[in-house]
Amino acid sequence: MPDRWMFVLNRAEAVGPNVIREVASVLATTSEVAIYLAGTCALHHLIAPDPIPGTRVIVDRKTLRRVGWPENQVPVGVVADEGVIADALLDPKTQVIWR
Amino acid sequence: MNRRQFDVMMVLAGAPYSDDSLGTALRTVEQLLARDASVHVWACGFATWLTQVGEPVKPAGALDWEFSFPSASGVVLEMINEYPKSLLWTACRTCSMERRLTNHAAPVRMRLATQMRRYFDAADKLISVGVV
Repeated sequence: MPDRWMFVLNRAEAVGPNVIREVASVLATTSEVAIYLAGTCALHHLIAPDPIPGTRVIVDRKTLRRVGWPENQVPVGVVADEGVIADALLDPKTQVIWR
Repeated sequence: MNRRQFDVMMVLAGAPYSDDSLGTALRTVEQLLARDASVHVWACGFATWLTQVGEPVKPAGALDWEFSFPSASGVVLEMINEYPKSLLWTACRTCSMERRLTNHAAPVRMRLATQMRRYFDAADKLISVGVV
């Protein structure tokens, strides 16, 4: 079982509204779980943030720029680029799930 | 048969125009290469479009006729040329032939979809992006 998990969520239509939430919630009880939101998943987060307890949300900088942030000054949490995904992929103790 | 070992193998599927997944994936590959990691990208479906021989820049835009932006395939081909030793790009032959997208740039090789499984063990991490 990996020590850390990262979910890269890019397409809202591909993310089961409850499946990812349930899986991430369970994993977060025993492991570090990061949720990297990009594309339409990041947009959903901007409109109606609904963080999963125990997980760390990271929002894709490119997506925010494309939709006009930081001009909108929406408080979104941690903003980062794909370097954090690369770091997770290169970390043998982190499992990356991409949807 | 011993295969070359890669840090990451990324199976890239789906159409480049369908959503933001491809952009996120390509920038992730860029970040991996910048960290001296070795990456094997296996392109399936309409992702085989990315390495077709063609224009490396987008058509001129009305906002700035003088400035040219790289196309998605331009970005990919530049990465392949910049990191010839650490980036291997394979296009699925089955998907390429099915879509008549077999005119790949020179560094890109084609392999049958049935051979994909053989490369899974030759990567420390395997990630799948998009659906065909």
